[in-house]
Amino acid sequence: MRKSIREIEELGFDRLESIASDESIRVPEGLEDRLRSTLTAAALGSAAKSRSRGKKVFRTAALTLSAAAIAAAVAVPRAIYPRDTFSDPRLAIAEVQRTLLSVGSKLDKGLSIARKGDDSVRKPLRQLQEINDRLTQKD
Amino acid sequence: MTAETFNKEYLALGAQLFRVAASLLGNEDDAEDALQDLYIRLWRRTEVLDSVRNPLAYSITLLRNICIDRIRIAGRMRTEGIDDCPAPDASPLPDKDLEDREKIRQVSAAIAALPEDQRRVLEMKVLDGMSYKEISAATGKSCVNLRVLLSKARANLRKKTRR
Repeated sequence: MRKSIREIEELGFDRLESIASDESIRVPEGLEDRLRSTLTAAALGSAAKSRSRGKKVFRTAALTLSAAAIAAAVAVPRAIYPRDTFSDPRLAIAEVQRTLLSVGSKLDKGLSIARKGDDSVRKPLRQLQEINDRLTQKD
Repeated sequence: MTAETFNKEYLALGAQLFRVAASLLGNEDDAEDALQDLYIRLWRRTEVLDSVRNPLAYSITLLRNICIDRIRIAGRMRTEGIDDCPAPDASPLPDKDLEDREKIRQVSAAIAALPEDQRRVLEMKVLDGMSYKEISAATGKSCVNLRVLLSKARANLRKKTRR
């Protein structure tokens, strides 16, 4: 019969230990096999989760790099080619200076995007590395 | 903690722990469910198990708490009628862990239903963390044969758990 919560709370550890070794209580056949199946299922679940975490990391990295490449492809041609030709050399120099400044600022933007992407990739990779270290330590 | 140590120190306690659960819950089915919950929890905290001095005492304490939780939940379900239940909302389940455990139960039942040789190889590889060489030495099967068995086992599991 099921015990009440109070009854269980009043049971000391010694009593529980003696119940554990009481062989008059029947243990169903194949219990250990079923427990092994449960643990295998749990282990398969953890492996699937870490695989999907890894996929997410690479997806983020790929998206970040694609975004940076698109930004560069859009920004650089506009910055490099001036809209007109110049007969006045002073105007030409001014246009070159403006172009170089524009390229510099786009480059800074691109680098900051790449740095952010790098951080978001490094953190999960570090965690995966830690898990791997722990697993290899076990062996 | 290695899989081998876990099996030796914790899985070997299955029968003793079952007796405790059966005595507290008064029912073999509930006891086995509680025991499965216990082992899932133990498996998830293997990194702290190395510092446990008395695996039996530690497991009994966890199991006792699991049994108390189950009795509490069962009592709540008995006393609350359907009318008292709050209307279901679209928010995610409060206990994601419970959902995970339910999935584990489904996969576990599918594993238990696999042909004996496939189940054995899968457990040795996934649970015991054995290499193909070690499994080959233990079973007498070639590595190629083992890979085929493992692949069949995974395919069977996918088929059974998709249904």
